[in-house]
Amino acid sequence: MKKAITLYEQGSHRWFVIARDPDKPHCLIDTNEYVITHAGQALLTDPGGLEIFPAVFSAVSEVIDPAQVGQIFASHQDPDVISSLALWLEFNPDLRCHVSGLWKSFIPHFGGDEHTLLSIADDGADIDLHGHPLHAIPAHYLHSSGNFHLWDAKAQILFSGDIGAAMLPHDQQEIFVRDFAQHIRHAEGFHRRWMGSNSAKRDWCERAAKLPIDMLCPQHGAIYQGDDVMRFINWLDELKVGLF
Amino acid sequence: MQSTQTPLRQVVNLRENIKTISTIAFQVNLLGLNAILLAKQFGEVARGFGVISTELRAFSRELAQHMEAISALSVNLVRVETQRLCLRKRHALLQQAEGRSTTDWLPQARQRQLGRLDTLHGEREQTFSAMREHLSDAYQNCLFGTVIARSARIEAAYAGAQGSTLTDTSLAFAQCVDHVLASLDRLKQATGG
Repeated sequence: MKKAITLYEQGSHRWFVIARDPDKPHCLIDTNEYVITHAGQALLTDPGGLEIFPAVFSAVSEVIDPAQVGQIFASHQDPDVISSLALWLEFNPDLRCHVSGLWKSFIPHFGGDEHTLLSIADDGADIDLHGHPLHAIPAHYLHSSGNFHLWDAKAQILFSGDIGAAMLPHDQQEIFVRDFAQHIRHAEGFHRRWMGSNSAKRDWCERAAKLPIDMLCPQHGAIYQGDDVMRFINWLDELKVGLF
Repeated sequence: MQSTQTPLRQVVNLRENIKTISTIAFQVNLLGLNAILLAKQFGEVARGFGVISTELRAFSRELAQHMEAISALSVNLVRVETQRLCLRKRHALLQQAEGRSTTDWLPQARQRQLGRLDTLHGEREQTFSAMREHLSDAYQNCLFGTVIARSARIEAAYAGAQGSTLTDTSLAFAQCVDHVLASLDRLKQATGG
């Protein structure tokens, strides 16, 4: 079963990562889900695919009552990101899902309707979590054409979707990056192929470098923290991706 | 289980009760440890209290083990309920499509979904049955805990001048056991016991 691990806690403001499922079939890509709580309400980032819903739901219920999850943030439209939406809606029909306006009419193929899906405009938006602002930051073409990351200025944590993702071998399942040089080899192929635009990547690197990020939390692989965050941004800035 | 709640909500309630009991079991363990230290400090007059506190720690560990087992079963229950939800959705979609088509394939596919639903229903009942077994053991364990908590109070009375501190501890034990019994009753109901 997936485990919920606390990343940040100050009063009621908390971040948990839901990660690593030893029982998951190898044919499914491993994903990290993040739960952000504030004053009794919670937001879930990229809740994952239909197949892993039981593991994610069980792990979430280890740390909070899942009824607190009133909002979902979908970085983009992929099935490993949001195809479990219909099941989350079965549990809480009032749930709202924030996603790029580009995908507003595509995602209802997974579940939900015009009331469920809240469009994020291209230049980003603030998402209110019971009085605490979270910032949806544009990351278009990295890799999806309508793509956002989520910045929490209080916790100094950036949920970075597919940016920072690494395809870790099954025997390397650490939650945090321990050896950057060793780790980044598992991220290189992924970024070269999936990130389509060098100019979008450069723009993202410039904006990310200005944020005081303590943890950079991708949807796949291990979390970068401390100096490894800037190491990663510099590495990505140098990397040639997509078509050029 | 109350029929007005969705199956997933029922499982969440069940897990909330498990969490409550696990937290209390942890508290009892700490109380027991503290009580053993107190008994050592008070010497001969509190020796009996020390023995009983050791028993209470053993009780809390056993209770925690039962809760871990029930918690693992509840994860399976989430999986079963999710699959039932998906199958019901597919079944409804196939039924809709059946009204607009004459192919044999659709009723056959729908029958297969019904067969899988039956299998899952059986798995669900088996999981509840396994939970009830653990609950029954935990309940017995708790009744033993009630007796020990009572004995702790009697022992506290023999502890002379130190008695009031030990009485407070024994009352805290008894309160914990009462809370566990109440949560176990709720779990018993939730699992159809």
